Amino acid sequence: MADIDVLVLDCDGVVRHWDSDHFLRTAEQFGLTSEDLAAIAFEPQLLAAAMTGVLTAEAWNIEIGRRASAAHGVDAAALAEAFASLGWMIDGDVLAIVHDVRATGRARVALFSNASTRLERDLEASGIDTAFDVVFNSARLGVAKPDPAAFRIVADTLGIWPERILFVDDQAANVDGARRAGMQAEQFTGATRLRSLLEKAGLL
Amino acid sequence: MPLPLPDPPLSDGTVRLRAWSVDDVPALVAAWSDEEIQRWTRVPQRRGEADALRWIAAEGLRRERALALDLVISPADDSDATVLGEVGMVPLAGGPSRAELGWWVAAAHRRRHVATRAVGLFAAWLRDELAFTDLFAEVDPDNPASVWVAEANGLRLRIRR
Repeated sequence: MADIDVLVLDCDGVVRHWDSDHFLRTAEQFGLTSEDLAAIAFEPQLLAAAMTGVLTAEAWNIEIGRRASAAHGVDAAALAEAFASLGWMIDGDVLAIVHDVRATGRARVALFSNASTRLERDLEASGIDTAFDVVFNSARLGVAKPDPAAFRIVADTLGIWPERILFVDDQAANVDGARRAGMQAEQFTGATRLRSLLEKAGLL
Repeated sequence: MPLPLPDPPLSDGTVRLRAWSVDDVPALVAAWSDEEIQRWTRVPQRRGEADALRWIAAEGLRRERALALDLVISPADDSDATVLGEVGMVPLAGGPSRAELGWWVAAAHRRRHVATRAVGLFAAWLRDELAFTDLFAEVDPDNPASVWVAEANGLRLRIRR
C-alpha cells in the first residue's frame, strides 16, 4: 500500500451503528413492520434528496410522516418525531483506532458520511464532533457517495492527491466509487481488521 | 477555526509570501513536473493544468476548514509575481499546537536561500501569531538542502519513511 496522508472513514456502519431494534420497535408502535417503515423512509428518491441536502433533516422526517400517514393512516407528526428520535451507538473500537492514528501524527483522519443536515448535531450529541480532523457531510456537499464527484470534492478540499487517501466504507459500491476517483479504498469488515489494515499501511 | 492569511503579508525585503492565484497554474504544473520536486515532495499523479487549477481553487476552502495553509514564495517587490516556490502547513492532532511544514523551490531559483528565508518567515509567524509550538518537517536524510532549511529554522525533523 502506497503512502497515505489522510484516512477517510465512512460514518454509518463503521463509526456509528443505528439501533435496528429501536427501529423495529418504532415501526411496531405505529402498527408497521420495519420493512414498511424502511420502504417509506429510504425510498430512493426521497433518501437521495435528504442525503444531498435538497431536503433538510426536518423536512425529510415530516415527509416520512406524511407518506406513512397516506399509506398506513398513522399519525404523521408522531411518526416524524419518532423517526427523528431513533437511537444509535458509537463504535468504541473504531473510535480508539481513529484516536491512535491521529496520535501517531502520520495521517489525518476525516469522516465522510452520506447523511442529512443533522449529522453535525448528532456527532456533537455523541461527543465525537472533535474526534476527526474534518467532517464531510453529503448534505453539505450536494453530492453523495458513491458518485466519484463526491470523492473528488473531498480530495480537493483536503488538498491531498486522491492516491494518497485511504477510504474505508462498509458498502462495496462506495469503495468502488472512491477507487474510480483515484483513491485507495477498502471495505470495512470490523474494527480488528481495520486496525491490522492500518498497521500494514504504516499508519499505526 | 479558519486559518488566516498573514496580514500584513510576510516579507523580509528579499522574498514575500502571498496567496495562490489562478495565474500561477503554469508555474505549479512546471513544479509538479520537476524531477527534484518529484523526488523530495509529494506531487500528484495527475498534474495537468486542470489539476493545478483545482488545487489552487480549493485553497480558500482548506484555510476555512483549517485543513492547510499554502502560500507562494515571490520576490519582495510587489509588482513581481514570479513563483520562486511554495511553503505550506498542515495542522495535526496529537498535541495542542502542532503542524507539519512543507516547501519547494522552483529549479531556476535554487541555491539562493529562498526556502530558508520563506520557511523562516512562515515559521516565525506561525509561532508568534497563531501560537503553534511544535513545528516539524518530514525530510529525507538524502536531501541535505531541506535538512538545512529545517534545522536553520528550528523545525523538528521527522525522517521520511
